[in-house]
Amino acid sequence: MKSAGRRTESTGQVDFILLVIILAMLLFGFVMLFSASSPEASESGIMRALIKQFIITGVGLGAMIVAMTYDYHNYKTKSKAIITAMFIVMIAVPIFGFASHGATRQISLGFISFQPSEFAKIAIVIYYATRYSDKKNQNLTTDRRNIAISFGFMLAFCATCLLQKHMSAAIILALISIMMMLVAGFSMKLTVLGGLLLAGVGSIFIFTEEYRANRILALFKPFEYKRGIGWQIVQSLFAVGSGGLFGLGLGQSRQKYQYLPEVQNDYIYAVICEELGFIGGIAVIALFVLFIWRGMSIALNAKDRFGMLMAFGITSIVGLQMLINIGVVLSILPSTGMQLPLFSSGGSSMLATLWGMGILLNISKSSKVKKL
Amino acid sequence: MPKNAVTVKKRIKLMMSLFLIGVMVLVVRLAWIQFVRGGEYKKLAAEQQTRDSVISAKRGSIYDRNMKVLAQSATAERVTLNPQEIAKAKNEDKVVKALVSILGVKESSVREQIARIDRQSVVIAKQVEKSTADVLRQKGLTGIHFEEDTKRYYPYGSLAAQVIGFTGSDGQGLEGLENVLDEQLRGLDGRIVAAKDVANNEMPYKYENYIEAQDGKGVVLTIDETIQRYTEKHLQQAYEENLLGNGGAAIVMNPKTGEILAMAVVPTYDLNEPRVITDQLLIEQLDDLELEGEAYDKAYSAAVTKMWRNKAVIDSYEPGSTFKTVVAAAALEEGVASPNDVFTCSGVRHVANRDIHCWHRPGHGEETFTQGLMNSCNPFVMELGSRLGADTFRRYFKAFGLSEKTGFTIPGESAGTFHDQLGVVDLATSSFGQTFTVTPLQIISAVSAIVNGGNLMKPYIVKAYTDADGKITDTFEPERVRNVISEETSIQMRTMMEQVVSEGTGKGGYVEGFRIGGKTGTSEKLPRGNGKYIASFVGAAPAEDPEIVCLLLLDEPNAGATGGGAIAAPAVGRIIEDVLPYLGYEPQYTEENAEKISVSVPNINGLTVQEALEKLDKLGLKINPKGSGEKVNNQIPAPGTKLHKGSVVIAYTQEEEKKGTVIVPVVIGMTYENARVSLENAGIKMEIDSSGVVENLTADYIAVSQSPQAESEVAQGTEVYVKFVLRESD
Repeated sequence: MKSAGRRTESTGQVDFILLVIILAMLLFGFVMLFSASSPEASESGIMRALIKQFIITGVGLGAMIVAMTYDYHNYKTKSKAIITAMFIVMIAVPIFGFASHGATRQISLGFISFQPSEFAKIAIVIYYATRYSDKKNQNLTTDRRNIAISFGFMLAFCATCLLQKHMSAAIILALISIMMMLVAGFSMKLTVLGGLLLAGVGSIFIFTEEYRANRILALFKPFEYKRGIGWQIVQSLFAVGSGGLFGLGLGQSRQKYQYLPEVQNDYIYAVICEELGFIGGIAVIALFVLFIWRGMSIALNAKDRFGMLMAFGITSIVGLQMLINIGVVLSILPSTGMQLPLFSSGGSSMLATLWGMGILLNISKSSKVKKL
Repeated sequence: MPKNAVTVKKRIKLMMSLFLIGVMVLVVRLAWIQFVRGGEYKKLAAEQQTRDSVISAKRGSIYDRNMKVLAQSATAERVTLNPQEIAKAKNEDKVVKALVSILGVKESSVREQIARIDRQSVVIAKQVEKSTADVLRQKGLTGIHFEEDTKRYYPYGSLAAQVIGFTGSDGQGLEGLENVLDEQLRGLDGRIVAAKDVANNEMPYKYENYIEAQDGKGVVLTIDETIQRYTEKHLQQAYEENLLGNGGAAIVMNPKTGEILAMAVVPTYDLNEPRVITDQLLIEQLDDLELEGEAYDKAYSAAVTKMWRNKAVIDSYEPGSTFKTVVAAAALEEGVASPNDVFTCSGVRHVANRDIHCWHRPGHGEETFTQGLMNSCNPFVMELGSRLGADTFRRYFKAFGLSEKTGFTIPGESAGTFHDQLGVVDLATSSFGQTFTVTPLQIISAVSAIVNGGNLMKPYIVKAYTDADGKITDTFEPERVRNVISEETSIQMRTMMEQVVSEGTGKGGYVEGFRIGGKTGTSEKLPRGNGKYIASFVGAAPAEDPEIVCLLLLDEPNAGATGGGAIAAPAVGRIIEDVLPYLGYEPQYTEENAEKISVSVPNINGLTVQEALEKLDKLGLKINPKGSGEKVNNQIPAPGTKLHKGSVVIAYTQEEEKKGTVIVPVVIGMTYENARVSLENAGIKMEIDSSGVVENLTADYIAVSQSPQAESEVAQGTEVYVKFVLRESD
């Protein structure tokens, strides 16, 4: 097995298509970020933001290259250490972290702050992939004790997110966990049941916190609450609606003039739709579809079960975030702080995502997927 | 493992299809938003993204007929706040303090506005003077902003207040001509549509759309500021003297054209402060109500609203005896009576089953038509009314425009009320101006038609429109509504109306030196017997060819006299006395008024020169001392002689040199007064050659002969006989 792995490793090529897709998304994202940044107060302010993003992207690409060359099987052996460390950090966030926007999600390392939940997404994928690819645990998916551990693990991580008042991260972690379980072979009935149970618990969390409940309300009647909780939904609809087929032209967004909140972040897609219209909006979705197709193909053709689960998990993280982010922008889903991977500004998200991309590319090396 | 791997692959494929479904939902939703709802969202977005700034058109000025500015707009400022900025700067207290102390706004209302944190701009004060705004600006407080605004100024304050009216805080006309002519005065606002961000700052897009403002038209009135001022002065005086309970009104009209030269209403107010009562009598009346708090405020604002009313146009009243001119004119025109017909007034007239009394209960006895009018005799006009008959009466009533609005440019003009069917009793009482109502404007228009040769003119107050620079663009010409009576009847009416003033009930309106025609009116307000009257007088001058007609009415006089002849006529007389000279008519003294204005020379013999001067000065006479003595020992003319005011009395003093001789000056061709003065200055007494048998030598008489003749040398104090004859008119 080891020799086989070494063989594929040495001969395998990185999936060039995937790399192009990733780079295309980064480039596209960078252009849009530049456009969305232009109404910022001063030119120097814009420059500073762009330089920061440039540096982050650079560091992220570095991390991706490192991860790309780092054999993904190594994560399997370090899985326990990774997940334990991650869990400790997650618990530490609400204690040592600092608050922003009424929630404590970030932790400071002195010169830089980062958001551990972004990395937790990858960590949890590593954990489940390791757990379900263990050949000794053939009955993992049917054994009650194992099932309980799997769900309990997920709940524990979700709980740390909720302690950080980070609902969106909890949702992503929960969804990823369930998807991983499903893919690993958990019975459909059981997983769906567990999912429903989780949704029930989740809705308790939603409706016990007033601002979360309001977001649901705003989703259905945004114009009635235009001046308040419906504001960002309405502004987002205005932005997307103004775009039409071809958009107002690159850099011509009007909604970015402080009408849209978090314009470089959660609502970057709204600006893309306003400036580049339906064409631009579809282009972004198409890039993600291509990415999902490529990521899933790598998973399907992965050399081993671990790679398969890892590739699936990482691809799903990106896909899920995309669905939720755009779903929020198009007001299908209630607003929640979800970023559009590789497009939104934000260091932790970018770093974690590119790390994941590196892993995925590394998996692609030994995957039997058709390459150019 | 392989089996397992298959399951994993199956599940991954399942997940892929779930992703695909999710993506398809997104695409459909995206298309829905952009293509189905796109237009709507785009429009709404554009609405919030654009700032529609109004470029205010400059409101036109209002001028009097001589282009004196009665109302004009000037730039002012509007103070607004940005509650969000104030919240950020945390300077609420400072802002409130500055606004309260500088603008005088209420603290509670400012705090209320600042609390509107979802707003970026709230208006605190409009039409703030630039100087006041500058004081505030210098404070440099965050959150206070200034916008351009305009303010209306009325340089003459209360002049023609009820006619001109005023504007509201947004510059819209609220009352008077400002309201009726709002459309013309206002012009068309321009607009700038510009892109703006959420904080109202401009966005760098070419959304801009610029529509230029069209300034409002200027309005030139027929009102003459000077005549208006005179009218207001005397109306105000009558108002104060008679303690009017319900105000008063006066109109001066050019009967030949229908132009309103003045239109005054009391109590009045300052157009620059339209919500403040300054009239003392009105304040006293309010205080007498002894109200407090809300009830007082209510009464106050009711009084304010009432003083804005243009009583001269809006309030209809029973015209009373002024209306008799209409009946008389109709009777003469119809030939049912002539000026010398004799009528009998027994003090009462029996109509149907009723006795209708004359205001003069004992009756006027036998009287001619003219005397009937002079006496304002009720049975006389009832007779005229009955001779005319109901139909003809109604026809004239209508022809004189008394049953229709005049079409005047003032809001709320009323047409009065008149019977549809006239019974005999109604006909009788209507003949002397009761049981129907008309407006002052209707009555003055009818009387103008009576004296101007018989044409009913449409009264008007807007003479012309100008462009923004004051250049006249449209002019309005006099408009004849219809011919009502003949020139001949009109002349007869003028003569009779002059007699009403010179000898009849209108004597109070008599003014020395002018010929005035007129008619009094006193109507008891309903319900009869409550002691409330409207006293009025309509005068026309000069009587022989009237240039002005003036109607003045005093509503509820409370100082004793209530008759139109007693209180309204003198006020009209005073207005005419001021206005006619302004229009270029010099007083012409007749025999009678010469009598009135002359004084009897006092005896100054034995007084010192200083004492004599004081004594004569009191009587309006001048002194010309001759000689170097201290005391007067002789005077010319002798005590008891009648002299015009301003004439000179020569005082000779004791230590005068021996009487010398003087040269007789030429006096032939001079008037009495001039002849006397020049002879007396020469030291000669004038004696009138009484062969002409003239009692009063007015300016119409000139000297035709003198004895001794001019240039002859005579002793001082010699008497010279001068003969005067009536100057032949050319």
